[in-house]
Amino acid sequence: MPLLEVRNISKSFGGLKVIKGVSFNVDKGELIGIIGPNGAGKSTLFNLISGVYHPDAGSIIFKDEDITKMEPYDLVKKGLARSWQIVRPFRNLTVEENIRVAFYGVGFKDSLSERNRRLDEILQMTGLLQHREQLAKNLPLGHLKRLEVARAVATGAELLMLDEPFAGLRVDEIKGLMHLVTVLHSIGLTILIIEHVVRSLLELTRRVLVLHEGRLIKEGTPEEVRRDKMVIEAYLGEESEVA
Amino acid sequence: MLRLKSLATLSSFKITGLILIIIMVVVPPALRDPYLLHILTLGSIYAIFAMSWDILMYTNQLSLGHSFFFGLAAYSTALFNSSLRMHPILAIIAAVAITAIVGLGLSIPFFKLRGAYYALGMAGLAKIATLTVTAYSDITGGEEGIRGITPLTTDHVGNYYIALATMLASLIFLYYTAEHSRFSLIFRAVRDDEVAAKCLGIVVHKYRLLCLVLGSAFAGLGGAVYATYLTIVNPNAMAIIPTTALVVTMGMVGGVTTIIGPALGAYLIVFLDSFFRVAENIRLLAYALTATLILLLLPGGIIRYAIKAANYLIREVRS
Amino acid sequence: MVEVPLQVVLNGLTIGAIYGLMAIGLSLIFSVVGIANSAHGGFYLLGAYLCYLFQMIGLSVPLAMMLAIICVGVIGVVVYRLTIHPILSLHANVLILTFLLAIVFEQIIRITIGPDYKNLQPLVTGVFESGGVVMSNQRITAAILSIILVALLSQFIRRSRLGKAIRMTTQDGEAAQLLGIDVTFIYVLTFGLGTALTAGSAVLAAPLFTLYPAMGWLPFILSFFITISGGLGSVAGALVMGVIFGLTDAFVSYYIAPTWGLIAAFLLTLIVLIVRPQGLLGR
Repeated sequence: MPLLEVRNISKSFGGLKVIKGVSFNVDKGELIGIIGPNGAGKSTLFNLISGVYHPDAGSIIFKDEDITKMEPYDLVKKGLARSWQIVRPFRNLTVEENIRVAFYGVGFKDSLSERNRRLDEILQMTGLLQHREQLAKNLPLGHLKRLEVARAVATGAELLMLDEPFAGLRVDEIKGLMHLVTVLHSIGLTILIIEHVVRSLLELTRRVLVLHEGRLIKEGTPEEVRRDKMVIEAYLGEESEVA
Repeated sequence: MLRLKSLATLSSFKITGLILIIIMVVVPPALRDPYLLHILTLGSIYAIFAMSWDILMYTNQLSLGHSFFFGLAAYSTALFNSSLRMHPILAIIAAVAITAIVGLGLSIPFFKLRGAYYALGMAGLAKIATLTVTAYSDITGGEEGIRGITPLTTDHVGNYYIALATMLASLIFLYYTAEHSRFSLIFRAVRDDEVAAKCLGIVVHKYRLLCLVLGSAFAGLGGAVYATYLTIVNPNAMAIIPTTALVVTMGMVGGVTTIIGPALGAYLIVFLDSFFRVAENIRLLAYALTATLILLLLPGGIIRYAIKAANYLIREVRS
Repeated sequence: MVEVPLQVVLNGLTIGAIYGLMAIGLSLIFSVVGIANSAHGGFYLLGAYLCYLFQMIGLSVPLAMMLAIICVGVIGVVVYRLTIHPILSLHANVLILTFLLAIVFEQIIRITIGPDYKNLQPLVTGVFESGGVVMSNQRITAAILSIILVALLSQFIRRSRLGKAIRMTTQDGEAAQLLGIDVTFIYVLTFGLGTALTAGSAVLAAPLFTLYPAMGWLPFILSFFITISGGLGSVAGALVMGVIFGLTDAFVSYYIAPTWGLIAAFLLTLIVLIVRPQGLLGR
């Protein structure tokens, strides 16, 4: 039984169809990537699944429950959390406070000491321990990208949806973050990653979906995808290539 | 934006506050100046109103129609007292309850409105209410308003203490709710990014609702005390111009989302206004120019600069 | 009695077109510069009173109107550069600052010209009468000129080079800057253009009413409503909402009582706003 089922969803904005009948499944414990050129509708797809927008047609099932019409704050409590491509930290809160908001949001019943232990654990895991007292607005992008992941993890989610976590980072920063994703996967989280190009997903996952002009045009291993003719054509005219 | 807590050490903050309160309690009545007491009483009432406007800002609700709640409570108090012959204290309590309930009800239509749309929706409400109050002259007295509301006391010092005590109670309650309660962190998160907060499980509209109910109830408290103090209420109390304009200026000049700032702003604006009264003809001009200058030169509001200055002084004295 | 509703409809349409023009200046500044200009009513006031002063010193009516419009545009540019631009990113501060500026304008007029009522000479005199419909020629002219001005403005923004730069800046200020558009210049220009348009609506509409120092507040609140409920940045939305507002006002005033006309019209815009939070023609 899949953890997340997306069934034939569509979405238009002001007459412009952005998502045109997308269906796919994510199994429990899977690490799956979605790639696509600019304007393919990747971020919209994430916004639809995380409840920021609601699809015009189709349905989304999470853990056997229809979540199509649910709001983001309810979805988080059910175990579905996301990060943002363009980072959205609470700029005037410290790193630690940013994470505490997530604790508060999902309403942890644990004791204070348990919560503090969990906070330290997340800070340690994401490499933000030394920066816990810093205001988010003073952090460089590399740290903010990790804070995005840290907040999502702090909600205690089963399914993590990461929106272009590697975009805009230096090579060493990407390596660190990739390691973090692998660790999170290994402790049992199901992870769905959006990326612009397949390159960063090569070592992470065995399964990649390709979104182009609002449709899924290909599914396969990263190797298959990067050699596929249709996929290469979809990326034509862009400065960056599929690989 | 700077937070008060991080600016001032807690103990110096508390000590300064305590000294200010003692001065406010002891000095003005000792001076035996009825006009000064009147200004300070009005300042205290407007301070309650300004803080009630500020609590909405904690969840990004910029209200350009806040006079609606102030006027609603002032008129309710007047009507309960003059038509239903209720004791002024009972009338005040009933009026505050009504404004709080209206604020609660308004959260439904205002649920989706954000930013300028929200501000305008509130302004529209105030405008409609003001026009209606003026039109329904049988009950409200039209432009003339309602006169002869029973005052709580006719003693200057008594009135001053009533207004001051109400102001201080409101200040302590609102300040602790906004800055030191478990809501404080959520308010700040929502203020920075509502959508991100939603995606971390924060039911944003619940907090907006909380602030709207607090904001309307305390605006109502201000309006009700205002009505019993002046013993008269007219459509101006509800009108965007001057009343909303006044409260927004007080808040901005004092410093938004600090609670204490708007309260200080209220006293400052009332003082400025009475200071320029000596030159009646240029009074409003001078007042508007001064407030403009403060906004241009101290964009964060006077409270932030006042605390910085105080901290600097404390450091200088110690070294 | 077919004539009576026709009169009411025409009353509503003409005043609605004028309301639409009143709102355009505010709408333009709002959508391009991204600020709520609360001094809108102040510029309206300045337009009407400058026109009055120019008429007093003996200039012809059209010349006085033109000069007033140009002067207000220049004042708009100066005020923007000196006060608004330095704090542009602080939206709430701009809102209150411009509000205070409106008070400053009002007080300057009150102190220099006086608090009593004045009348502005209309562009055209006389009354139009036909089939039971009675209407002043100034009102008809003002309505027609309003529609022409709005049409010209939307053509200007759609077709001219400068208009394209303005649209570019509206959509994405940063991208516009990268393309070599001087965003500050566009802001200054738009503010001047917006305030000049506001003055234009004032010199057309003010002869229908009377002049007094606080005359700007109602047009300001009206424009604010029409702009937002019509859909921010939508010129057509402002015009449509203006007409709806005018018609509601006219009908309710006629069938119920004049005092309830404005109340009903405001209530209607509030309902539009609540049902369509993005505005009538907003996206």
